[in-house]
Amino acid sequence: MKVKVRFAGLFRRYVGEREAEFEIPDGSTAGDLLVLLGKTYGHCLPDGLWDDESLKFHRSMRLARVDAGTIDPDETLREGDELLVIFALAGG
Amino acid sequence: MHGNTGKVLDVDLTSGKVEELELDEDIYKQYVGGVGLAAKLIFDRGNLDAEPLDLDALLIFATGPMAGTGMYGTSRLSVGARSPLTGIWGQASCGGNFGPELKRCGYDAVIFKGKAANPCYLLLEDEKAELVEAPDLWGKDVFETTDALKEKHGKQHKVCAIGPASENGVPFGSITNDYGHHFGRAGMGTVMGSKNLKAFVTKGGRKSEFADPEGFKEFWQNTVRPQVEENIFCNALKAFGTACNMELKMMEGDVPTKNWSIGSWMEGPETLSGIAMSDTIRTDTDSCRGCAVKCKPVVKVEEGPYAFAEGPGPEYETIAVFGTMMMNPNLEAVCKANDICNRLGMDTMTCGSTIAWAMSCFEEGILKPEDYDGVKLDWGDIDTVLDLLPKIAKKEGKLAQLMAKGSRKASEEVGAGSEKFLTDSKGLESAMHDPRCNWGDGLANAIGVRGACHVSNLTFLWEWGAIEYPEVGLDMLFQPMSAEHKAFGTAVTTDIGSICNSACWCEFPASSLTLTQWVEAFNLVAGYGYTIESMMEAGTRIWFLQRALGTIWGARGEDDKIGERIMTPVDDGMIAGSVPDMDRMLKEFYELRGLDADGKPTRETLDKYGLGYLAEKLGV
Repeated sequence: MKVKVRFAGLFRRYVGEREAEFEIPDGSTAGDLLVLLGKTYGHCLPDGLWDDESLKFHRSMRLARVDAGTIDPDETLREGDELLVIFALAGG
Repeated sequence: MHGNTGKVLDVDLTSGKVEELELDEDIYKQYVGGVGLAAKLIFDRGNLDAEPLDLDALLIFATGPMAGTGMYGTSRLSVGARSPLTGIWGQASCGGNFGPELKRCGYDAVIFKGKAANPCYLLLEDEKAELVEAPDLWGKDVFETTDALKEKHGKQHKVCAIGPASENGVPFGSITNDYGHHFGRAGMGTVMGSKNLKAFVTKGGRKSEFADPEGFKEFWQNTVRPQVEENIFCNALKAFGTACNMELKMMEGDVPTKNWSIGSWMEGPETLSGIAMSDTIRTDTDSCRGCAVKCKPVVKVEEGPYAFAEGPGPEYETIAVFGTMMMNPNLEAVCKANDICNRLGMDTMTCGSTIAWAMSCFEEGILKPEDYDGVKLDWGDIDTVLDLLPKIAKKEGKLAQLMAKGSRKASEEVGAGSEKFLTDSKGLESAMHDPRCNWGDGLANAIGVRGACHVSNLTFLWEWGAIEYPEVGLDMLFQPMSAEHKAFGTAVTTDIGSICNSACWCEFPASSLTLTQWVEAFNLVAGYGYTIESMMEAGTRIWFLQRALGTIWGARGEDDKIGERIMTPVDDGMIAGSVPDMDRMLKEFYELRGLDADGKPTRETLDKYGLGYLAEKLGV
C-alpha cells in the first residue's frame, strides 16, 4: 500500500524535502514506517535523532495522521494515509 | 556554607537602611533557593496584607545554589513579589549574568521594601551596598539606563533596570538584565518602579565554594559537559533558537493563532520561525553567562519601516504573540515590536496577548473605534500595533489605557461578552502553547502558582516527549490529546519545575541530565544531602507555599481553570474539536496532591511537607 509522509520545520530542513510517498507492505505499523524513514533519511539527521545500530529514533519521534492527531507506534497504517513526522525539538 | 553564602541583604528604601541577614542552612535545603527562597522570605518577613504596590510590599531578587559555579544554565536569577497584574504570587526569572554577579558579591538574595523618596538605584560592589539617587535616570528607557550605568561604573558591572512602563504603573512592567535578558512576567518591574528603584547594579569578586570541589570538577567534565553539548534538543536551540520548530508545532496545533481561534495558519511559521530567522535577519547567537546552548538570537534589520540596529532578537513566545496571534507574518515587524517592548520595559506576552484579545473584541464589535479615539486593531495590522506600544507604556490615549491594564482587567472593564476571548489563568495570559494540543499543559496552566505558565513546570516538555524521568515514574507512553496520566505527570513535572526555578537553572541544559544527576549536582555544589525523594519533596513544598500565598491573596479552587477562549474548540487543523477534559484532570490532581474540594491543602498534607506553619493563614 501507499502512504504519504509530510515533513515540516526542522525535519524538513534536515531532509530537504516537503513530503515523500512510500510503498509499504499491508499491515505495516507506524513503528515500521518510522524505521523505514530512519533508514532512508538517517544520514541527513543530526546525532541523537536516529540511531543506526538500534534502528530507533529519539523517543519524542512520532507519526500523526494529518488532521487527526498522534498515533501509537503499534497502530496499523491504512492505504492512502497522510502522515506527519512529529518530534519535540522546540522551546520558548 | 557551600554553593550558597547564607547571607541576604535587607534594603529599606524608605529609610535608606541596609542590613545583612543570615539564614539557616536548613532553609536552603527545604526551599532550594531562587523562587522557593523568595516565597519563604516573603511569607516569613512580609506584611501579607499589603497590596502589590504598597510601601511595605516586598520585592526579592534571589539566586540559586549553583550560580557562579559554571554549571550550564545556572546564571539565571529569580524575582518574587505579589503581582500587580494578578494580585497573587508573582515570580519571574531570567538568564543573563546578574545571578552569578550577585553571588560574587557574597549574597544569595536581596530584599527590597519601602519606597525611596527619589528615584534611585542600588549599587552593590562586593559586600558594599549604596543607594544612589538618580533622578536623571527616571524616564529613560532600559537601554539608555543600562548605557548610563555602565558608563558611570564600568562595562563589567551588571545591570538590572526598569523602563518607563514600570515607572508609569503598567502592571506588566518587566526588569531587564544587560539589554537582552528579561524578567518578563507578572509585573515584577512595576513593583520595582513603585519603590522608586530604577536599577540594581552589581560587581563582585568572591569565588564559588563547593561542597566537593574535585567531585564537581569530575562531574562537570565527564557528565554535564558531554550530555549538554551533545544533547539534540540543546543543539537544535543553538542552531535555530527557541522558535526552531515553529512550523511543525503549527501543523500539530500547538501555536496559538488569531487569538487562539483557528487551528492552523501555515503562512505564518514559513516566515516567522527560527529557521526563517536564521536564513534572513539573524546575525549571531548570544548566550547567558557560560552556557553552551546559546539559544538567543541576535538580529539586525538594516532598512525599511522596521529597521533597527543589531541587537537582541525575539524568542518563540514573542514571535508567536506578535506574529501568529495577530495574523502578522512579518518577522521584521515582530523584531521591531520586541525591541520597543524591551526598551520600554513591558512583558511582550501579556502586552501582545492583550492586543490580540482586543483584535477579537474589535472584530466582534465589542470594542468600537469611536470609543477609542478612532483607533481600531485589525488582524494583521502590525503598524497600528507598533504605534500603540509606546502609548501603552505611557498610558496615553483611551485604547492604550485599556491595553495597559492587561487582558483580564481590561475585559472586566469592557464586559459585553469580551471574557469569551480571554486566555488567562488567574489573570496571567497563557504562554504560546495550546492546551487543546497537549491537555496536560491545560492542567499545568490551571494550577500554576502565578497563573497560566509553562516554565514553572516542565509539563509541556514531558508531554511532547522531549524529556522522561523514569526515576519518578515518568516514562509512560500516552496521547497528548488525552487526560490519561496527565494529573500524575503534571504533578511531578510541576515539582521538577519548582526545583528548576528555585535552583535558577535553565530547563534546557537541566533537562539534558537525569534526576539522579540533578541530585548529584546539588550535593556536590551545595552539600544539600538530597536523595531523589527529598529533592522532589522540596519541589512539592515550594509549590504548596507559593500556592498558599496565592490563596492568602484571594485565589480559590474555582480559579483553577484556563481561559474561555482556550476552552472553545477550533474547527480546523489537527486539534479540531479538541477541548481538554479539565474536570477529570483537576479532580485527579486534587486527589493526588491532597487538596480539598476548595483547592486547599488538608492539614495532613501540610504536615507531610513540613508546612504546618501555613495552616492558620489558610484556615485549615
